[in-house]
Amino acid sequence: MKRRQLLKGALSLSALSLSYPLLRPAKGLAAEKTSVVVIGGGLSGLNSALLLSEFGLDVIVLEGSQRVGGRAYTADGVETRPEYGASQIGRSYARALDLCSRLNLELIPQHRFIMPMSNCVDGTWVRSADWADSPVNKLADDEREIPPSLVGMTLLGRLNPLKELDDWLSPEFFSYDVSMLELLRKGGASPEALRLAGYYLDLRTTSSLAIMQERTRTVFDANFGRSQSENTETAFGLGGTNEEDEEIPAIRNIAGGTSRLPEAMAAALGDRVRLGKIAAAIDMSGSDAEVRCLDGSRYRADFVVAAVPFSTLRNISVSPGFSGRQAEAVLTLGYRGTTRAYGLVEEPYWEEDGLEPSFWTDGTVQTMWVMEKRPGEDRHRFILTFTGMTSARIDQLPDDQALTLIESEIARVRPAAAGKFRFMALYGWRKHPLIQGCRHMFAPGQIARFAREMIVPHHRLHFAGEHTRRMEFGMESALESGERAAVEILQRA
Amino acid sequence: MKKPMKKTTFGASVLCAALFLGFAVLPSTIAADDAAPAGDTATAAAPDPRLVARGKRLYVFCQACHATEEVQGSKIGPNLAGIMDRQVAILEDTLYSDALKQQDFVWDEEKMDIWLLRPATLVPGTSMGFVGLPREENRAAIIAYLKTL
Repeated sequence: MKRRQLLKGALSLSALSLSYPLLRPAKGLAAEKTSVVVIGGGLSGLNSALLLSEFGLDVIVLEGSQRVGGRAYTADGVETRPEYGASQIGRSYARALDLCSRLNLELIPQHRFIMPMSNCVDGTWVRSADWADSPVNKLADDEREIPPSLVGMTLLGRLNPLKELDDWLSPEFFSYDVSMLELLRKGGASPEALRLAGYYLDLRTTSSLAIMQERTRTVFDANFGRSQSENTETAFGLGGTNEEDEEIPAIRNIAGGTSRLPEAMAAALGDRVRLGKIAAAIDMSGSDAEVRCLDGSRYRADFVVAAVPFSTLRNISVSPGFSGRQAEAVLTLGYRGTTRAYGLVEEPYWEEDGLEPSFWTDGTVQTMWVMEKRPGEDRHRFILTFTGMTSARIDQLPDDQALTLIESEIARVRPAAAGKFRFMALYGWRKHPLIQGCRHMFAPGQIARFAREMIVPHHRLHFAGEHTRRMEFGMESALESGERAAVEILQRA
Repeated sequence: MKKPMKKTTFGASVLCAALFLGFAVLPSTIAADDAAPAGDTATAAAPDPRLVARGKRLYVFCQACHATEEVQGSKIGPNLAGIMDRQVAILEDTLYSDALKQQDFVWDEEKMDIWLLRPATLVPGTSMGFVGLPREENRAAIIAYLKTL
C-alpha cells in the first residue's frame, strides 16, 4: 500500500515541478544538494533510486545519454520493434516481475520459436538431423551429437560443479576460474570442439567460472517451480522453453518492449532523473561527495552510487582514488560485445535449397535465427547474432558497410538466400560510447582476485550494475545490484 | 542475540571489514523516518524499535519476493505475515521448492538465523535465491522485524 502511494506521490511531484520550471535550481554555478546521487540511469541505477526514495531519501539520477534504460533498449523506431538488449524475464526474476506488477506493465509470453538450423562447416552444408553422422563433423565420439553452435556451452555444462547460486564466489570453486580453453582441454575436448566453441566466445580470455555462474542461474530459472528438472542448452540468454500446459510461461517479455520498464521507473522518479549528464568526477575529499559533470553542473550528496559499467567508471576521476584489487577491477575488468542484425525474410529461400531456415556458419556470418511467424505476421523475422571475436570483427566496420558485407557473405555462402531477405537494423553494443559492450566478462583468475573485493563501498561510493551481481543473470542481475547498493546506503543513512 | 560472530561464509570477513565501515564517523543528514510499528504489541517481549527499524530497511532484500501486510503486490515467494513461529512451507497456493516441502520444522529464531545467513545451508536445493546476510546483527534485525509482521 505504502509503496504504491509513494510511487504515485513521486509521479504527482514530478508533474508539479514540470509545471513550475522556475523551481528548478540554476545549473552550473551552485552545486545541487541531495542525499544520494546515482550515476547511470539503467535498470540498476533506477532500481537503487526508487528503493532509496521509497525510504524518504532524496535522490538524483544522472544519465549520460538522452535515454534511460542502458542495455534495456527497445528499437521503437524500427519496423517490428526489435530488442537491442535485454528482453527475457524468467519465472524466478523476482525483482523484474515485482516492478512490472507495481508499475502496471503487462507481461506477455515470449514468442521466440527459432526454426530448425542447418550448419555450414568448412564450406559444407549439413542439415541438423544429419550432423551427428556427417563426415564434416570432426568432433570426438561423445561430442558428435552437439550442434556446432552449442559445443562450448554444452561441454562446459558437463563440467560445471556449481549447485547453489553463490557457489561461484566460494574459494572452493576458484580452481575453475581458469580460461575456457584450459577447462575444456583438461576436460578432454577435441581440437575441433575447441575450434567450434571459439566462435561463441574467446576461449582464451573468458573465465570458465563466470560462464558457470550464468549457466547455474539459467538452470535454476528453468527448474523454478517445476518438479521435473529440465536440461537447457542455449547459445544466448535463457534456455527454458514455454510449455503450453503451464500456467506461468517460462519466459516472458514486457508488452510494448523492454524499454517500457526503465521508462516507467524513471517516470516514477520524475524530474530527479537528469538526461545528458555525463559524470566527469566524483570528489569525496571533503565532508561529503561532489559529482561533477562534463557540462559543469555539480551535485553534492552524502552518498554516490556508481551504476555504470567499469568500462565507463574508468573515465571518471574518483578522489580519493581506488586502491588495491578494487582499482585493478575497475581498470581491467573485461567487456564483451554482441552485435545483432535484424530483418525480414521476403521469400522462404529454404524451399529452394532444401536446407533449414536458420543457420550457423564458421565463417564471417555466425548465427542466423529465422523465427516462426507471430500471429498476424506475414513474413518471418530473422536475427543475426555475432558474439566473441566475430562481433569484434564486424564492429570494425561502419554499420552500413557491415550490413553490405554481411549481405554479400550470406549470398556467397548460401546462394538461395541472395536477395530474399531485407535488413532493418544493426546494433553493436561495443559501439555504445557510454557502455562499450553488452556485458562484463571476467578474465581467467579475476573472480578469485577481485570479484568479492570490487563491490565493497569506497568511502561514500557504492557500486551497482550487472557486473556487481552476486546471484543473478540478465536484467535481474542489474536490479539485484541496485537493490544491494540501496540497502548498503540505507544502513549508513 | 549479541554474540560475537563465529561462523562466517566466504567473503564475509572482507565484507564485514569494509561494507559498513565508517557508520560512526559519517554525518547523517537523513532523519530516520521509520520507527517501530505502533500496533501488534501483544507479544510478551517488547521489540527493540531501533532493531525493528533497521530490519525494516534490510527487508528491501526480501520485498521483491515476499509480501506482508505493508508490502503488497504479486510476489513469487510466500507471504511473510506471521512467518515467525509458523510451520515451514505450510501456506496454500504458494510456490515452495520440493526441498522445502520435505522439511518439518517451525520458523524460530535459530532456524531463521541460519536461513538468513545462507538459505542453502539450512535447506540444500531451496529455490530461495538470497545472497545471505553475513553480519549477525543484520540477521537479528530482520528477525526482529519479521516478528512484527
